[in-house]
Amino acid sequence: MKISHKLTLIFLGLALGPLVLGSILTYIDARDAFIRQTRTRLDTVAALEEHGIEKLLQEYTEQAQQLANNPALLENLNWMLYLGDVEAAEKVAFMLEEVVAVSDELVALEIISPEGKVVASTRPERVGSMVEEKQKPLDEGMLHIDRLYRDQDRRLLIQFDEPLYYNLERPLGSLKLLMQADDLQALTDDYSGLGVTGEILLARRTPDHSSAELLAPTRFDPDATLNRTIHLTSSSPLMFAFDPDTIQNSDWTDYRGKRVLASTRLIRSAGWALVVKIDRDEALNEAKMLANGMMQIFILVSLCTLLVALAVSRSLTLPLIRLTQTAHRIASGETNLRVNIDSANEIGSLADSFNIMAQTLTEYGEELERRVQQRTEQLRKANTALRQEVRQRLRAARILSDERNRLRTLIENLPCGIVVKDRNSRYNLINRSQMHLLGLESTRQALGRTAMDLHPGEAAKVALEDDERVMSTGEPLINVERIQVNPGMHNHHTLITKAPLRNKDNEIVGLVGIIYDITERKQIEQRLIQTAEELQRSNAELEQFAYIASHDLQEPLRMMTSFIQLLQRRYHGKLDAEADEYITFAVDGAIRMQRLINDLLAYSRVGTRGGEFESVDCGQIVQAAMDNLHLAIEESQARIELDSLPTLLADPSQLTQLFQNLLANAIKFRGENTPEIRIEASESGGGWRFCVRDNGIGIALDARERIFQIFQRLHSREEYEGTGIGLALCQRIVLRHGGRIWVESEPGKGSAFFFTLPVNTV
Amino acid sequence: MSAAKRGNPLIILLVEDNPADVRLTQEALREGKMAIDLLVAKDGRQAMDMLRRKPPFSEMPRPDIILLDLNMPKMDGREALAQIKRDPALKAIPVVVLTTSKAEEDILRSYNLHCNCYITKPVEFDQFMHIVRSIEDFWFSIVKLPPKPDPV
Repeated sequence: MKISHKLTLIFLGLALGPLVLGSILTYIDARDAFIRQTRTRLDTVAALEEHGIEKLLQEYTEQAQQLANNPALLENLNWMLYLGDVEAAEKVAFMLEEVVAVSDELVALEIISPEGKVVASTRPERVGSMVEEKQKPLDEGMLHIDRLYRDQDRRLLIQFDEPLYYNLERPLGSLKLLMQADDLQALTDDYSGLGVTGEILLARRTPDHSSAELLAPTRFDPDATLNRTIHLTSSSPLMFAFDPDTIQNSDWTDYRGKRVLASTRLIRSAGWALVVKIDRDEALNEAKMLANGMMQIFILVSLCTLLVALAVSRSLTLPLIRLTQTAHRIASGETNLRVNIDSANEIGSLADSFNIMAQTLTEYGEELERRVQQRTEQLRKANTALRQEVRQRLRAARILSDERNRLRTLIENLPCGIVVKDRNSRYNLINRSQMHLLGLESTRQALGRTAMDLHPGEAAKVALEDDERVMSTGEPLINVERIQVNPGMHNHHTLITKAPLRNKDNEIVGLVGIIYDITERKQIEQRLIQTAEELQRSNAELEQFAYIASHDLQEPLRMMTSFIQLLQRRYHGKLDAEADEYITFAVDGAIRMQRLINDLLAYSRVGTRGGEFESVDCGQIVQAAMDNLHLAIEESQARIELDSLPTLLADPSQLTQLFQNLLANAIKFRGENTPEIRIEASESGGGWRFCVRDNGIGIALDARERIFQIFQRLHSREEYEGTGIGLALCQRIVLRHGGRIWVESEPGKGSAFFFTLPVNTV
Repeated sequence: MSAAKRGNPLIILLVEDNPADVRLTQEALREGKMAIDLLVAKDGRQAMDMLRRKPPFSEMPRPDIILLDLNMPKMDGREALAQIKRDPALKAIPVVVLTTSKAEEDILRSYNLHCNCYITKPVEFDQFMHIVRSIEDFWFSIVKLPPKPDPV
């Protein structure tokens, strides 16, 4: 459906829908209002009419009662009826004549005896006749006003029967009044307020109750009085007036067969029905006129709306059609085409935007063309690069493959175990060394299984715990000693390193393990420890032995020495020369042995009886050593020069011994020279290096190691005295202080004894 | 008043288990000028018995000086020194510890037990002679010894 059609329909719908709805509602509302208004009007008229009729009948009744209660009449009547008094009868007749004469309405008066015989009448011909059955009073003692009829002169008469009592107790028959009912007829001919079809009906029921007889002229039937009977139906308003309980319907139809609106009343004193009605058509006439008016407005509005809708939709769609056509033409290649819509509204904006778009499209088209060319060029280059890349990749893949092969071979043949495990500690890779270590025959036996699967036990549990720790903390385990259980063989001591394995998202997905079998090393270590312990023990025992031996040797030696010397003292020159010489040898031997033992004792004491280390000034130490040697120094005239010497942590008596021994050696082995000795000290490698330099005989190259061994002597006793312990003692002292001692020498020119002492913190 | 002037020989109690040492001491004293009575106890217990004149030493004279070796059987010199210096009747007698021990702990302990001096026996006879004479000189010429109580 075209937009213009849609727009038109929408316009019409929007404009006419509410109009139609409003009109219908207004019409229904108006119609109901008219009906209500009409009914009210009918009710008003009916009330007035009822009132008028009732009032008239009341007047009649009052007149009749007034007459019936006239005492004079009743007195005379009583006389006349019961005493047969003729005079009284005349008086009665006279009184009746008089009443009729003065009244406009009264036509005749009659008195009827209780037996139904006319005893007095203004119409003398009727006196003495019996009253027709139907004209008898119906009920004794009650007023009846339901007799309406025409007389011979076609006068409409209304008859009242009023009972008569003498002294309120003796019945005297009844008084019959005949009055002209013209007033009654006049009451129903006033149609003001009832339009052109409004009517007032006054009716009484026929004796069989099936019909009603009209008692007054109607608008459309002036001769209706007592001439027209109407059959009563359920839709008849008269029926409703007589008997409201039997009929609910308010949709009434009158005697003419027309639908009417009506208001009904029952005239109670006479039992008549009063109906005030109007044709429904007339009542709704105004509503219909309103509807007509509204219909005209509706048609007018529809037409206007249609025109406006057509105009608007056309003004909207026309530019769109032009845009569409232009777009089609641009699409088919006329890219320079533009629309020209001179409008300030949205359509204008749309056209402008369209033009801009078309312009942009043209530019884009050109740009696109250029880019396509550019891209094509780039693609060509990229393609070339890609081919090169592919070649490089292939080469890299080959290199990688070679690399993998090398790596695989390397891993397979490494002397240490290599494993790779997944996050659940299952072996992903295991090399041959580890396979042997685990006592497996093939690496496949391990793949996909855990250490616990292979060899359940405490060692496997520890291995799994290690794995979990490494993988959960991400901290590698480095060179930790673990037992590797290998059933059927002895347990292996291993040194394991485990490091977490991460994927490219840095998540830990497993671990790499390196396992060294250190069982042999461990055994060697164990043996070494044992040996060291044994060595230490034997060393200690040896020192103890040396100490005790030298100490206990002292006593007998002292005895020997003492008594040989006593012998020499007392008997020198008293025996022969030979004996004197023997004694001299014995004394000499005893004294040498004494020295040997003393030196040995000192040597053994270095380890066992060493003193505490304390801060010592090496200058003072050297001075003390020189004091101990003052005899030798004086005798040899030795010159000793000192550097400034440091203060350090050492055993002072041992340090004194050290310097003393070195100085003593320097003096002892001076040769022909006057000894010139120099003591130097310099810092070296976190400690001090001392040097005792002399100008003595020097030491042959091959003897430089030997001189530090115990009991090693380079010279005969005749040349140089000595026990062969001095330098061994020096070495022992230096070693105990954590340093080392060595000698540099040129035979004949002098020696330089070096030793180092570390700087221990004070 | 020196003992020499008194005309009575000076009395030394030598406590020494080694007869060779006793002999050496006797020899050394013989070469001296003073008249010295050398009494010898062969261990600490005998020394104490003699000092306390227990039978058979009831006639034992009170020594002027005691030369005491340290390492002896039965009762060693340390115990004997302690007993002497605890005994009010004996503690005035000077005690010279004469021993081969050069151990510092022996030296310190002896002085703590109130020895009067501590001498290490030298190895060579000449030096021993020299020392014995020095003792003789020092204690009997230079030093005033405490007066002897009258014998009971």
